[in-house]
This record gives sequence, structure tokens and C-alpha cells, in this order.
Amino acid sequence: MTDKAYPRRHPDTAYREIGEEGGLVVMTQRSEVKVLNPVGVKIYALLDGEHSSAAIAEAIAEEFDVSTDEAAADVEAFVSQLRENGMLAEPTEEVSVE
Amino acid sequence: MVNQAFHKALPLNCQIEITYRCNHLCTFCYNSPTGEREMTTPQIFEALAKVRELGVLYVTLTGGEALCHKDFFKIAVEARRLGMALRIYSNGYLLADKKMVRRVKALKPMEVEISIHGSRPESHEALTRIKGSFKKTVKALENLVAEGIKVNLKCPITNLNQNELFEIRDLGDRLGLRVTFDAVITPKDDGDQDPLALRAQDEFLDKYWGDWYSELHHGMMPPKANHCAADGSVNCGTARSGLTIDPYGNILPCVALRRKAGNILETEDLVDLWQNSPVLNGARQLSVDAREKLDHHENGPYFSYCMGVAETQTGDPLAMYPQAEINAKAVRQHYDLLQIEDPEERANSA
Repeated sequence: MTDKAYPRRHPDTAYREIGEEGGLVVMTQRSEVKVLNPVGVKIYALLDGEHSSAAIAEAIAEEFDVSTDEAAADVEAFVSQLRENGMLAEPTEEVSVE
Repeated sequence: MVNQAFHKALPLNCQIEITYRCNHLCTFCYNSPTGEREMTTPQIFEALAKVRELGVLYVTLTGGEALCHKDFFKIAVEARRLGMALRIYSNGYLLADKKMVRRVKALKPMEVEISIHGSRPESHEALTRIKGSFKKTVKALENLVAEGIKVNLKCPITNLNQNELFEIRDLGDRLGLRVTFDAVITPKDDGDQDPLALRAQDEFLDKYWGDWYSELHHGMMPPKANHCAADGSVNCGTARSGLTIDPYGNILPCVALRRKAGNILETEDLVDLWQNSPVLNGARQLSVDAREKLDHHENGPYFSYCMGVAETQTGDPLAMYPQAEINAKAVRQHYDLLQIEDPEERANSA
């Protein structure tokens, strides 16, 4: 099992869905807001470190009526974009004040 | 997408006044503690969980002085743990301590907003009534900047500091910070009008919004509307883009319009209250009505109008109050003088 197989959204982001149009992700330290489409926000919600990429792809395939292969490719591409944008957590990144 | 959230009245931010306790004695403070019991830390945790459930993305911790709350850091960590971005409003006094600033940095806040009231101890401390507070606030700013924390430096304009705004701006420049000036002093939340004695003089406000604004703000033009209004269909974001919770748990449409919609501790379903509260729906309608009323005013497009200020100053949230009129008239003159055309108007007349 690798962290890449169980991706987790960055703890310094906050997100919410906006109706059926998609959602917003706030990058707290960079004061940036990213806009996600409906598939993106669904994937983002499942990036909790407990869902594998394969499980996320299955959920996407079911909800958006696409094949599992197609969903898996989309998830992989999207997760890769998130990683490049610093929106995924490294294993040790947590909030701490001590 | 942010505009869509606005029009659907999906709240993105919540301002939580975690305590009325403060280490300053600002003469113009709008807070009006009633002596009721403030929320306990577990109750604030409960409030945070409920606003997160509502979909809030940004939490602003304020007071009073938020850092005076004994559990400030526990509360801030809980907000972050729940997945919300964090803003902190402070007078900076306790952030003169580098250790405190390092603890704030560990919270990874979006920004820390610090209030300053003068460019020198005499003027700043005439407002805060705490000797040594100017030096501490400036030290706090230096500490925050040194730690790379985003700072919004705010200055409420009063008749005690109105003649040193350029020096205050220069103080910000030296630290690499833009100063946001706030020209409106409001009555206290309980209606007490005493703070208005400190408001800047009308002649000064006319100059501030007119001749001085761009020079003071590095060439920026004065705003033509409230920053919290997504577009021209409503006056502001009250009960739409966010909400405010006071130290007793009362849910308010915003920090300025302090009408109680309920208490967060007695509200099982905040989503239902947000959607169906007569107080919140009334506030949303007031924002539409205010915009409609302003649209019929000769300086209508130039108003930064606050219904909360109108209500506390006149008793009527839709009544005109002096600062708003002076502001709109001077801002209009500013744009007229520069003969800046409105692209939309030009397109319509073509």
C-alpha cells in the first residue's frame, strides 16, 4: 500500500460543493481559491486517505455513468494535477500548534 | 462560482466573536456586552461543527480580542481540523511576543488582520487608552511579517487620526503592508451613539473620498460598492455570503446588522434555520430593497451603504446616514473628474 494509492487532500485546504455546478477549494496559506467541476469536487471529497484511487474511480463511474476504465483515467489525471498544484497531503502534514 | 454561491445564498464565511474580553479600552468600540454567560470552549466547538456542516469555508475568529480567550489556540486548531480556512482579527498587543506569533504561524492562517489607530503612540493610545500599546502593535506587525504571515493592516478613521493617514500609510509601506482605511465609525451594538463623537469631520471625509483617496492608496480608485456585494443586484452580502455568531451564541445576519436569528446552541438544524429563518430572509430582502432604493438616488452606483450602520444610527436599515451620502457624492465626483466611462453604459448607449 502506498500513499499515492490512497491520496489525501492537503490539510491546508478547505472545500465545499456549490449546488450541482461544482465546488470551491480554498488554499489557505496561498490565499487562493480553485474552482472544481462536479466530477472534480466529488473526487476531492473522497481524497481522505481512506479511499483508494480505484475505489474513487468506482464511485465516479457509478455516479456519472461512465466506464470504470474511463473514470480511473480521469481520477489519475486529476490527482496528478492536484499533486502538481500542491493540493495533496504529504504523509506528515497535520495541523499542530505546539 | 463564488457569484453562484452568493446568489444561492450559500454561506462561505462565518465570523465568530469568541469573547468580548479585550486588553484595550477603545473609545469607539461597538461591542456591547450584556453580562450573559459567554459560550464555553466545548460550546464554541459545537458552533464550529455546525457552521462547517452549513458549508462554511472561512472562519474569522474575533472578539473583543480573540487572543484574550484562554483557549484561543484550541478553538483555532478545531476550526482548522474541521477543514475551514482561518482568519484572525486582533489588536496585535499579544503578538508583540514572538512565541505567540510562532504559535499563530503553526495554525497556517489565511491572514491576520491587525488594527492600528495612529502613526505614533500619542494618537494610537488616545484611542486604545492603553499605554505602550502602539509599540506593541508595531512590534506585532514586524513579527508577523518576519514569519511570512499575510497581514491586513486596518485603520478605522477617527477625528483623532484623520490628519495622519499618510503617515499611517507610510508606516504600512515600511513593513510592506497595504493599509485598509475604514471611514465609518458605528454606534455601539446597543444603540449607544457615543462612538459617533469620534467620527471624522465631514469636510475631511469629503477630501478623503475625493482628492486624497488615490494618493493615499497608491493610485487605486475608491470602491463604488460594498466589497461583500457580488454584483449590482443586492447591496451587500448580509445573510448571504456569511453570518456572524456573537459570544453568547446568537446567530446574526452579519457583523453590522445585529438581528438575532436564533442561538447556535439551541439550533439543531442550522441548514434549516439558514434557509427558513424570517430574520435571515428579512435581511436578504432588505439587501435587495436597499439596492433598489440606492438605484433611484442620483449617486446610486457610488454608494458603500451599510444597513447595519443605518439601523444603529437612525433606527431604520434603509434610511440614509451622513457618511454614506458624503462618501457617494465624493466618489462620484472622483470618477467624474477623471471622466472614467462605465463600459456597460457605453455599450448600452452605442
